[in-house]
Amino acid sequence: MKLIIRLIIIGALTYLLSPISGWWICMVIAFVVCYISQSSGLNAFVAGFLGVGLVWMGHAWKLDVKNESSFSSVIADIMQLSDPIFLIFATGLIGGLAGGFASLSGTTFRQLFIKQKKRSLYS
Amino acid sequence: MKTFRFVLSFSITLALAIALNSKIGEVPPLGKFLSPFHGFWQNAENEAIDLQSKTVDDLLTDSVNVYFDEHLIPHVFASNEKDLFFTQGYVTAYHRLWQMEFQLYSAAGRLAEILGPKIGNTSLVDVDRRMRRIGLMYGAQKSEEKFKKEDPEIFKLIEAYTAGVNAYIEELSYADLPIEYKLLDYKPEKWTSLKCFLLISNMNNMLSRGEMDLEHTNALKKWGRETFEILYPERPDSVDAVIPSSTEFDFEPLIVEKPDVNFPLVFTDPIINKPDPDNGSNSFVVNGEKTANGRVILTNEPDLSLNLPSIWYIMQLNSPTINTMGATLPGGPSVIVGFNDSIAWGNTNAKRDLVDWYYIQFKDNQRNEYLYNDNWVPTRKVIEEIKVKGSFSYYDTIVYTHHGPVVYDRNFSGSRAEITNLAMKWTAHEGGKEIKALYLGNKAENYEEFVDAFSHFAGPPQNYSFASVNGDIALWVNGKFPVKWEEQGKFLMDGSNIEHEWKDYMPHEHNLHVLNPSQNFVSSANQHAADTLYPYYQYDYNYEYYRGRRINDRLKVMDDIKVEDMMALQHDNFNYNASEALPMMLDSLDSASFSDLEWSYYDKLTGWDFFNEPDRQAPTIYEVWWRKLNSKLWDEIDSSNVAVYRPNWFNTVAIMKNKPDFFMIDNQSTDLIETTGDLFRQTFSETIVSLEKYLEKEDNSLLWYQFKNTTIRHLLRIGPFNKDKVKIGGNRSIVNAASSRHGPSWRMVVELGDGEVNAWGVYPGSQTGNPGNPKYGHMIGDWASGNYYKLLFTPSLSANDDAIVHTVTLKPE
Repeated sequence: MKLIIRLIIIGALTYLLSPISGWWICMVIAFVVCYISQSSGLNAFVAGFLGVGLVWMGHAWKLDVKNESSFSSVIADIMQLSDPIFLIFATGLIGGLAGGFASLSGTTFRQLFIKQKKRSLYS
Repeated sequence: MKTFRFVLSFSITLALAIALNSKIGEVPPLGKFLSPFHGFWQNAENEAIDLQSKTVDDLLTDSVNVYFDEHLIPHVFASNEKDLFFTQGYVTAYHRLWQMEFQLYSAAGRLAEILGPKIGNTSLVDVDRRMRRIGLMYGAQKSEEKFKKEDPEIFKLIEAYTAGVNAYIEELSYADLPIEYKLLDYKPEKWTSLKCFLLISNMNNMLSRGEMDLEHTNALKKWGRETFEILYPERPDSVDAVIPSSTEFDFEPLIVEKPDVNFPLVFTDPIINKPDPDNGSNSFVVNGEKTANGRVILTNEPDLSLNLPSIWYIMQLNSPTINTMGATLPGGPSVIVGFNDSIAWGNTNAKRDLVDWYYIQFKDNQRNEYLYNDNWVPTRKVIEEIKVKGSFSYYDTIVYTHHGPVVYDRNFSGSRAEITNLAMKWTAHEGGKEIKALYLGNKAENYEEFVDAFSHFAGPPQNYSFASVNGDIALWVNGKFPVKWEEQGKFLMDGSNIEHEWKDYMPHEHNLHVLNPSQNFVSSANQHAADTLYPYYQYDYNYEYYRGRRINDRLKVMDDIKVEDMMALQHDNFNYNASEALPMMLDSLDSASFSDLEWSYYDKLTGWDFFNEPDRQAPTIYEVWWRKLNSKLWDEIDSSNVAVYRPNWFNTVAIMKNKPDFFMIDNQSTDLIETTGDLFRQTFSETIVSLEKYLEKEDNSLLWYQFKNTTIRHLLRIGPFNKDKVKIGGNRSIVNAASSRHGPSWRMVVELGDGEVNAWGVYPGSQTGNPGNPKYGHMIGDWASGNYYKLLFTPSLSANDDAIVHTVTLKPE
């Protein structure tokens, strides 16, 4: 459940903040969200991967439908891809990887912070 | 452990972020490029036009309305000239920003800065070095200085244009950048007024840098004078000059005596790349005596590289003091080829040798002094920094003499056996007032104002044709021409000898011109400017011999001309070269021994009327045969160990007809002594073999347009951005000069009379330069099939007009 909530928050913030910022804002969002809420590494990675990846893929797909794939097929041709659909998948994958690793970093950073706290308790 | 996990995952994340933000090899930065909020997805436009009304720069003094018609042509209506040119810059940048920047990066020798050290096997550092060595920027700086000093009012308008471009650039975020910036991963830089002058330098580079002086010296040294004259005669028979031969020259010419000269005979090889020798144009004008309705009709089409984004951008510019329309060049103010309420003008390149080379003797290796008129004169050195993307800068020292930059020297190319130092003298290095000429020309109301306006046009020299609403037609050869003695600058000259220098420039009123000639038409197509009665020496290696003759042949017999007839003549596909060469070639064949296959080819050729229509087969057969014949005939030239060049087609035909004993007709690779007949027979067989092979490939046919494959190519040569196999006839040296990569880049027909100006135009491309726009390249089909668009041209417009599809208002702050 927490995974889904985190995923939705990452996705929603990516969708809202991206147009007014650089492409990397999705990584900042994924990092911060996973730093704030506690989770396992895998859980965080999946939330970041799907949160950003689905939004990137969904938005690309929406734009492409509106454009009837006319430009994406040209770009696909340049990238030596046979079908523009691969560009939509690639967009999702790249967004997903960026979001996933940023989330993982966020959560491991949090764990690092907690560990330091524990250590200070014992000392 | 936890620290390790964090460090590892954070390192991966950081590395990923950097990787996705960087261009790796040819691959654009994937994060930026694929992000649907920023990357290429944002360049896919669903509306043809999306420019919004807005408040812009405080340089604007009043609101400006821009009305776009259905062809996306902007009609700019401003209340003063400054606002008008500001908006010209702004709107042009909206459609063409990447192109206007990129072509001047090229002219400035800065391609490596955005593209890296090389593309394929081409070293861009070398390309940039050569561009800098020929001094396009040097000329642009001179022009800018001149304007600042002598024409500050016009300079302010150039600054307004510059501000307009910059106002547009400043609005852009990464998501808004044209796709090419994203693919190459760089950003637009600030526009400067200097760039507007560099644009003129770039025109000079395309149109007035053509020469063969060093090749001539090579040929003279290699083969001697007699052979030289056979290969490259200055003025063959049947020249049909731009200026009708009845024209009188009632002025006292400036005289320069030919000194007793010895040209330095040194080989130069390799030689820097030349502009495309096919760059040229047609323009013809008929007066009311020749037309059906008594009005005058002017046509023009500049034949240049067929590029996307297109070379030209069509606009109407209107303020209380200007109302003009036509083809503009993205990157500079004013209309270049067009019309206004009273007149229309067109231009074709007025070829003349304006680049000369001087042999320089330096005092020593320091190259601080060179010999001139028995003195050692100091040089000036400029160190050029060529920035290279992803690498260190490259520094090149260029030595300047009073002649100009020493283009060829020990730094030019390491592969040369002998180091010769050659300085370049070129009119384009001296700066000019072309923008003033265009600005005044846009406002000219009659013949006198037209003459005065374009008297400021230094280069590239143009045959300016003229028509006015009151019925005048005229032609002026405008440009800055040095007065030369016979053969001055046709060969490498001695840089130390004062006698080899240009002494003077022709006064403007001595330039060739004609007003309302008795033949009732004027025309120009890059041929010789005048017959030998003109008291000045005129020379170029590359005059045109076919288009001009065809146009004049037609205009002489045409009567009751309508606008459609002029359009048809622009599309005339008569292959003059074939009509003169092919009968001789066919006559030599031995048809008695033909195979069936040979008969089929022979029949196609004998049944041909010499028109290169797109869906005929004979033009393809002739083209291949002609090419093979030239290769066989000129094998001595192609295989030469120093740079020389093939004679032009016209003279090739003349040599085959009149000089059967000329030694080059013999093919070197065989033991026999070939005659022209042998060459025709051999190459005919080879043509069939090669075309049969060509036909083996699926989809290939002998149809002319398919074989020729006219391609409108994106400036970055990205295949999917090109438009190929355009169905159009013609070829080089044909009035419809559409060859595979070159041709009519803007066709315009203007009819003037009875107080009216009506105009039609079309070009192979689109106003928008964005490959992601639904209108990208939309005019190409109409351009190829001969359809023209009636241009919307009225003194006032409003957003409610049916013809207007989109309106933008720019307001001052």
